[in-house]
Amino acid sequence: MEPLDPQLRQLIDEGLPAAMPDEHAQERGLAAFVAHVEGSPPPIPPAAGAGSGLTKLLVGVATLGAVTTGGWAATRTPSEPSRPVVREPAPSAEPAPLAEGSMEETPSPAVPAPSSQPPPPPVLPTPTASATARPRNRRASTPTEAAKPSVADQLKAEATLIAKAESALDRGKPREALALCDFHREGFDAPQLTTERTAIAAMAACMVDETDTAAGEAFVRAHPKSALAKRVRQRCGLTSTPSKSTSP
Amino acid sequence: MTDSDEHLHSQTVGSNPRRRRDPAAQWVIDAYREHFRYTWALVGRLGVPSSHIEDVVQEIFIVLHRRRHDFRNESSVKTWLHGIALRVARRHRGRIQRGELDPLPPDARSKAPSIEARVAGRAQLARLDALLDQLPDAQREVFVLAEVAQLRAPEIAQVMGIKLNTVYSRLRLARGRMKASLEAMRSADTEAHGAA
Repeated sequence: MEPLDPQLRQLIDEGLPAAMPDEHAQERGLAAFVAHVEGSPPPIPPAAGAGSGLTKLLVGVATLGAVTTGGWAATRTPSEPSRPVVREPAPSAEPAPLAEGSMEETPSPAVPAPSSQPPPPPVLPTPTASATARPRNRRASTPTEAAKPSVADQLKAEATLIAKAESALDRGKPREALALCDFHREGFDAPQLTTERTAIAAMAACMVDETDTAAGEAFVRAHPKSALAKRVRQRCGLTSTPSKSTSP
Repeated sequence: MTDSDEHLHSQTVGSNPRRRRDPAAQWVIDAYREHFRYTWALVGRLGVPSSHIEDVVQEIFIVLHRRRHDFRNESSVKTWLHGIALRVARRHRGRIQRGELDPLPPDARSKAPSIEARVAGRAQLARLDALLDQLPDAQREVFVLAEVAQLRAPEIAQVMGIKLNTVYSRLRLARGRMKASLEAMRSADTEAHGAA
């Protein structure tokens, strides 16, 4: 291959040093990244991950707590007390795929198999003292009726969570939205706002990977007259109502 | 680990700063230290607005961390990183083009570009980016990988998942356009100086 035009080469050689970040950026980024790495669990085989109980919940907190919404500040630690205990997002039959292992992230054709790591962590909502979000598989020793939140309290907490997920979507943070959707799915015994969650997860999946419209199409099929369907169509670039599924 | 790293570690990990890391995680952190600055410079040339570079670079290394167990020694970490950077930057550009992200957040708008432009290197960088902005994305990616990242054509073909001939073809077109645009830019500069 012949060498580059000397004037262009000069432009690159002189301009590139100015493209380097300042030291503060590196320091800031490294702090956040180390927090992320330290907070992330090693890959857990499905069988081992299924019954890890509270450990897994705490690992989920560490994972979800590593990054802030607005960027990459690294001041939070996994043991921060004000965060709710969350279960690590687990494989689910939910129609909204998380698209974490999409081909977009495949570094090279020689590198196979996407991983099943969870999405980058969001800022979790901080429920009030009457916190109603609770992990479904937590080992409550003696669950009593008195300990159960009221329907109104739960609905309020769900609405807060869904609003945060929607806000994350609007701010262009689909992974954060997906993590919040996971939190909603795992955190309530009988969630009420499942339609809203499914719509948000579908839109987020489309934002993460624009070719990942399966969840969006499924939602539009299931809720063709819903006001959310219009938004899902827009966000996922679905021009019209998808035809009925032909799969068996 | 240096003293500052240890301090950083203790700040972020808290109770047990000397806990041994998962070796694979340590590998990723080492890669971060080694390639952060370079990746930052690369991402900017791939069309990510300067106000977004920090987040995009972070995302690149998070992907590297997430996929750390997939890494094989068939290629260098740097080559692997190029592939991730290319795809994350491409996706980010797409989101900006679709209006899902604002290329200039308010804090970036408030900056006065003329201050940065006084520095010669910044001015050259601005010219380079202006020329790169005129290339189609596919040509831009090949040009940046070849001329900025200095990858060889077969490596580019591997990273991008395209044929070797396509690499040569795109690179030839990109070089031609860049050269023509640079000449046009210089002519415009000369005319402007002449008029003044």
